[in-house]
Amino acid sequence: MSRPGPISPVVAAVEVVRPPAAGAEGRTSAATAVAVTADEPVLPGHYPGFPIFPGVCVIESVRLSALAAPPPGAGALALAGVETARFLSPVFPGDELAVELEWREGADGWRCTAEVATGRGAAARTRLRFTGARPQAAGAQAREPSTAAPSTAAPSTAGQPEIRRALPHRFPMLLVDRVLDVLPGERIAALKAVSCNEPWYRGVPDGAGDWAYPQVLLMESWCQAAGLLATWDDPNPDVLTGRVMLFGAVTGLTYHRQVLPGDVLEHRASITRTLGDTLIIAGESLVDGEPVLTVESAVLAFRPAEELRPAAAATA
Amino acid sequence: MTTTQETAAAAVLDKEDLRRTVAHALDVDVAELADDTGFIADLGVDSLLALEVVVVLEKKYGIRLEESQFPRITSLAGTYEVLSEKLRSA
Repeated sequence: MSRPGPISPVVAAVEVVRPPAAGAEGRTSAATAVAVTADEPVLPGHYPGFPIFPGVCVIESVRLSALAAPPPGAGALALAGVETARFLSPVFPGDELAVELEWREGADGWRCTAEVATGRGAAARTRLRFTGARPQAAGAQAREPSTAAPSTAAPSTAGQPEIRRALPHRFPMLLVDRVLDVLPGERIAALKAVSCNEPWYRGVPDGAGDWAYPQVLLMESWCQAAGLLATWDDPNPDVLTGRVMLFGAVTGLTYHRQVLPGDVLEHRASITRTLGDTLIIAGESLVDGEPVLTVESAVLAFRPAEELRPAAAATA
Repeated sequence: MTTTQETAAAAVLDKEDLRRTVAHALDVDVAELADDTGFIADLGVDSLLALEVVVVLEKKYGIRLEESQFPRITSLAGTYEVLSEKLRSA
C-alpha cells in the first residue's frame, strides 16, 4: 500500500460534495464525504478484534476535508489548534462520514466549525483553527543543548508490559513508549519517541519537504498518557468487557511547533477534577523542554463497554 | 479562554458576565443563552460538556461545587442561584 498523499494516519480520500460557497456574515460553507473502510491503517491497533475509527482520526478527516475545501483566497493553511472537539458516537469501518464545514476568518486565523455524521447520526462536532504560517519545526533550527538532565535518562516507572496492561491500544496506535513518573489520581509524565519508521511515513518520497508528525497523533499520544493516568489504579485493557475509557471531548488544544522524526515527546498530564465517572485532565507535551502541544481540558469518561457496540450505538 | 483566566479574587457575580462565561464554555452565542434556556433540553448540551461548565465556573469563582448542586446548573438562572448561595456562604 503506497501512500502518495500527505503524512496522515487516515488514508481515505476526501470527496468534496459541496464546494466552498460564500454565505451570510462572511461565512463560507462546504460539505465533504469521507468513506471509512476496513483498510484504514490505524484499525488493527484501535482496537485488536474490535475496530473503532479513532476520535483523532475523525478530527483528521475534518482537517483533510477543510484543506480540500478551503475558503477562497485563504492561501495555504496549517492546523494551529483544536479549539473544541466533542465525540458524540463511535465511528466504525464501513461508515461514511458526512462532514459539514463552515469557515470564518478571525484576527488570528481561520476557524473551521465542523459537524460530522454517520448513517446513525451525529458523530462529532469540532472547531479547528488554521493559520497561514506553518508552525516552526522544533527540530528545524539549531538549539542550545538543554541544561536539564535529559528526561530519557530518568528511571523508568513503567515500560511496555505495564502500559499494555492498562491501555487497549496496540500497534500502530499505541503511542506511549514509557512512563517516567506517575502519581495516581494526580499527574503523570510519559515519553513517546517519534520515528520515521512509523506507518504514517510509508511511501513518503525522499524529496518530501514536510516530515512533520501528524498533529492528531500528537493529540492521541498525549491522550493515551492521560488515559494511563486515569486508569493507573484500575486498568482494563479489554474494550469488550467491563468499564472502558472513552475520549469524550477536548477544549483549548494548541499546537506550538512541528514535531519531527527523532524528537522525543514528554507528555505531562494532571487531573483537574474528577466528577463521578468522568475525569477532566489538562497538560502539555514537550520536546527538549519546549511545549509543542498544550491542552486546557480533555474529558475522559468511563462507560460500560456495551455503549461502544454498534448495536448500542445505533439506538443511542 | 480569557474568561477562565481571570483570577478568582477579581470575579464578582455579575449575571451578564456569568452569561458570557457560560455561553463561551457551552460554545454558543450569548444571545442564545436566555435566563431559562435549558443547557441540555434547549441547547443539546451533553453531560460531559455540562461537567466542563462546572469546572470552568469552579476555576473562575474559586469555589468547589457539590455533585448534588449539578442538577441546578442546567440553566443560567439556576447557575446564578447556586453561585449566589455558594459565594454568600464562602
